[in-house]
Amino acid sequence: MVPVVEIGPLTFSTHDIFTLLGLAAGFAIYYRALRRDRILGPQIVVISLAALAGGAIGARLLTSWEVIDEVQAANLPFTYVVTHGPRSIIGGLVGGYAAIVLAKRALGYTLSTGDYYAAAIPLALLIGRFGCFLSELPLGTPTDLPWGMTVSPGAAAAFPRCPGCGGPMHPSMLYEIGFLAIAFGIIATRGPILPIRGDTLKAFLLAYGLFRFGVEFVRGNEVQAWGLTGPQIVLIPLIGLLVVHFVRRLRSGAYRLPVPEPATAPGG
Amino acid sequence: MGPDRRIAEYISANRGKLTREAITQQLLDAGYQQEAIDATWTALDTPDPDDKAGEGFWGRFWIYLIGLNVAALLLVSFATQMIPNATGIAAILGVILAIGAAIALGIVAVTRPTRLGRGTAIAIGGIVPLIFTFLIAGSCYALMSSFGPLPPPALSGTLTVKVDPPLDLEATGPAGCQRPPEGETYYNVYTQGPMNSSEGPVNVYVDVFPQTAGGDPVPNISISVGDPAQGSVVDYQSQAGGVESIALEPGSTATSGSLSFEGLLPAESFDEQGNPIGRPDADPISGTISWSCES
Repeated sequence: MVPVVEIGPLTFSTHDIFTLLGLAAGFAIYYRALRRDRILGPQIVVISLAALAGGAIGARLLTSWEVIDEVQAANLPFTYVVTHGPRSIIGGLVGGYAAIVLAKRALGYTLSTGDYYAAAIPLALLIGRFGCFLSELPLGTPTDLPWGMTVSPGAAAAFPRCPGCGGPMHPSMLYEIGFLAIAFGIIATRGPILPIRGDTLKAFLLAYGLFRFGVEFVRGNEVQAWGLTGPQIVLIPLIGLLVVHFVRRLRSGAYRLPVPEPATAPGG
Repeated sequence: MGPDRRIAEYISANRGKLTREAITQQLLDAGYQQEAIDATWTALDTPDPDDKAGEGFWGRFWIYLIGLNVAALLLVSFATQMIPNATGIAAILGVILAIGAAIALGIVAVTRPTRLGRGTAIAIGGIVPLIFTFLIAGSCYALMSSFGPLPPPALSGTLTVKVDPPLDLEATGPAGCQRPPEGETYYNVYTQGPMNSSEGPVNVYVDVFPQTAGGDPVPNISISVGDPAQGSVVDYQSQAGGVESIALEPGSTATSGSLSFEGLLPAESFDEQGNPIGRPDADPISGTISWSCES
């Protein structure tokens, strides 16, 4: 485990380095796909910047309710949550998605670009999760499965809350890395897996949401209400919206594609 | 093999909804040759040479101008923690960016986007305000440097104040520790917002500086107890009110240290409209202040 990387006199957080690497790799794939389809233009750049800003803000805001009481008790301004609060991948995805929708509306841009993110997002998350794993963030709930992992007592002491740190824990970050690697592999090699623009991204988000919901049971995050953790509570409406989207698609027959005029006329 | 009209019609009718891969597969299934499909895609993807700056330009330009500058303002303000710690400086940054944006708008409006080219004009909207801001910020930095060495950035940490009975309060909260520039010995430590205590909000300021050139640093302290909004505050100040004694613990620095004080007297204080809200008749207090910031 490597929580920090020292380069000469400079010390960097491994988590931050991998976050930046993930963003860079994700954007590289995204722009490569845009260039391939020749739709890389000024509007897309603005939309991408909006996605980045929305993702950064969303990552801080979505879980802000978990610490809002502490911030109020310490008489700190609400902006403290944005600058110092916990970060959430789900919040980043929601914030980025919302920012893209708003930016497109503002620009009058109607083409769906979601599929261009479909391979980029799992790759970026995959690299980012390696950073989480190397930083020795709390791994998961206690387990006696053979692949359970332990953290050193010194590292365990660095975390304000780590109920499973006394013994082997589920390596939940590795579970997530495995899922993301499979998702990236499928999308990167097969291209869009659904024929309607934007639906491959939504399918990935639905799959990731369901997977993450399940992983939360072995993650060790604090239970907030109804026996569910904060991310699980946030995921329920998001998964619900995506399920409704696909049900409507199927019921409207959207996946029965229009057939082109035959290349050769019948009998011709 | 060149573009095919029927392929072009199918692509144009469906490219807004279906993926490129799905369209291509449908065409292949209908019996079209891969070469003809590729040639038609290429023909449809080639930019229209008549697509000049003009139509729809100003809408995009405004979005660039405002979007990039707001993004730069938020990014710099949050990354450097101007927000929430120095919102005044963040506001000044916003004003400077707005002036730069006005200059960029003027350049494009006078030169006209059709003469500049659409890309150049939009780039001016994004880059000129940032260059202008760098020039202004650089000038300020150079000007401030000419007065003496600039202090390093303040560190964040915690501060604890304990006051003996009869006031009897204890409060801990986030603090800023302003380290001295290289070669200097003065520093100050301050609470970054009111701390909670049994007697209401508490603010503390510790200023340590040598009274004479080369002399030992001497602390001055200010402790404010109470809520100014409710019109009742006791401002204990060693300089304005007076103090019996202050002892800085040996080895104390900007990053960690403590001091004890006895007989700290209240001073007069006023609200923003100049109305007296202090209680200079309050009893003197004694206690300790300690701080620790990340180095």
